[in-house]
Amino acid sequence: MNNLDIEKREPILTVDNLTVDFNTDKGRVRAIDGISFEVMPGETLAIVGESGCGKSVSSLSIMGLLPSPPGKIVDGSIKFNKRELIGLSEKEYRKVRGNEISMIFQEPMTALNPVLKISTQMIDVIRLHNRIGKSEAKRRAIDMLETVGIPSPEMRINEYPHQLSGGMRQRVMIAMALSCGPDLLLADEPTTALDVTIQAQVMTEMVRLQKKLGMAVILVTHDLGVVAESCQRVAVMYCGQIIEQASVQDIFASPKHPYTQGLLKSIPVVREKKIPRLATIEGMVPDLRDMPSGCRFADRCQFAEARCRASSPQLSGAGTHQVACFNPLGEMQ
Amino acid sequence: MSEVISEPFIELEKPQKRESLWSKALKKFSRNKTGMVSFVVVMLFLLIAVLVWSGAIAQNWDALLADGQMGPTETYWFGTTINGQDIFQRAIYSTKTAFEVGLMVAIFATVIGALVGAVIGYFSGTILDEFILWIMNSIDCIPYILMVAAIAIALDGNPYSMHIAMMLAFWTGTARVVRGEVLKLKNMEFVEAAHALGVPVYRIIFKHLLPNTTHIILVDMSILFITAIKSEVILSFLGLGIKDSISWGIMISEASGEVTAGHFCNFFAASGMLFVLVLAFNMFSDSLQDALDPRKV
Repeated sequence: MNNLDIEKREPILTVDNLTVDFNTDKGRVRAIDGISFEVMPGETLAIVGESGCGKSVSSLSIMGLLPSPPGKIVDGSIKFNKRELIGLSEKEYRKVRGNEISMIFQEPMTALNPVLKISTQMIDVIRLHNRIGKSEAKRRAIDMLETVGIPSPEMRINEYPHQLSGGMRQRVMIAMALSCGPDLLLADEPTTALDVTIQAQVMTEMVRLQKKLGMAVILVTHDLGVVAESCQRVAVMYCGQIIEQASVQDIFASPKHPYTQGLLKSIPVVREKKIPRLATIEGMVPDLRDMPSGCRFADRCQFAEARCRASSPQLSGAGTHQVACFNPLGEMQ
Repeated sequence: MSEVISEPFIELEKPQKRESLWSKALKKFSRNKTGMVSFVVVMLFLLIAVLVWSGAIAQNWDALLADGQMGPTETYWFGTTINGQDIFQRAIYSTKTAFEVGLMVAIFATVIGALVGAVIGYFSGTILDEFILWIMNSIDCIPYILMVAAIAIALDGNPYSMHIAMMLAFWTGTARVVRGEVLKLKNMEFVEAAHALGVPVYRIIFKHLLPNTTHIILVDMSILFITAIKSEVILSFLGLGIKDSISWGIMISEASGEVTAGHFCNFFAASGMLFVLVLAFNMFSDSLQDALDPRKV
């Protein structure tokens, strides 16, 4: 599908100026500083960034699972299917979770309850959101396991999580998350804990399922290889802000923010005969408690000038490629 | 690609069923000689208790049948008491009393403790948790012998006042260990995943967290069973125990006067039975623990 198609439709999820604070013993810390993004039905948005940049906090905020205290959403709105999610009661939120928005986690080893059979866990979730009988729910669970590519699901469903391999468990997690047909799936580093061959399988499976079920996916990851293969759009986060947002082709072909470029340069390229020393981004991530007033990347940026340190650039740009930088690459030269 | 992972399972797909935790435990347990012997002994005691309870044996434990202070004879295997009651029947009847105390206290105390412990473990750090912890600490401060005396007086002759007092005194231990385990478990990802799938809190506590503490609860229950039986003996010896019935504790209490006069039958019968049951049950629960531990082969 091309970009024009996407623009005509209403976004399924609109996050506007989301701001999250954490209370720590050293004072208040802003983990997310006014991020805004949209997700269209059926598309895959990747949120990439290094550890601690606020990727997981954003996805937990959308799920309403932000540990509170210490976390607190201080500003912004999250609209899902035109409905405001912030301020929903716990009971109303529960109806959204697993049913309309679902989430899968990083660690398939611990994300399933070790003492309950797969069938118990899946039937439980299905029956929570649907008024159907046990046998009907079980049939649906078996169908779902089959859909995610688990061989002989009628047997597997009666097993305990420890009897399955890591890849299998992640498939079960995906089956569970998709069993109520959500419109949006949040995948928080779904393949990080799996080994590379299984990673590829699980990602292929997810892309296939997304096409089949037509849901939108937010993929939170730090693995740009996964992004390139499976996403349509990318939002790059740095220190709690989105610093660049564009289609996946634009990000990889012509990154505009120096940080994005640095990230791409630091991916090892295997096919060259002589491997040059891997590029790194100089400097350190600033402390969340002590953010610079200007651009947060200024201290590490080779193009930084006086106004970068004086004021903070806003996310702007024509069309679908937006960047928060005074000197976007490509335009400067 | 997917054939790579599905292949190894194809052979296992045949009707042969995979071993479950319990069938594996049963196999392991049946290979353990100490476990099997102690299990047979405990079952023997249980059988005696059931027969007494059904009224088949040892119903004349209180009747004055013969002369006092007889040594072991053919009719009265363990001799008679100072009043001429059959010590053998009294010792046998006491088995029922012991099981009554042990089972009641173990089951109720662990159930209360597990439920309370799971709830306050989940809500740790809240006022509810603080309040219940404070109550638990207060209960633990009172020596339970005093508590039994107080409750016995408060319930005014209720035959189960000792049982109730022990339950009230012992549930805190279970609550504490279950609370600790839930504290650890609730930060694990499967709980977060359950939240993310919209599972309500009460189901998370009772369906996802509590079953994960079963091994602790089982062990705690077996320890409490022994503790309750031993406590009953102590309390009965002090005159705070069961009323209008016989128990090993009461027998030992009676024997304290007789032993100085050279009559040991009462004393040996009661403490011998107590010793065998406690030892067998301890060995049984040890073997059970080994059998249920998946890390041990």
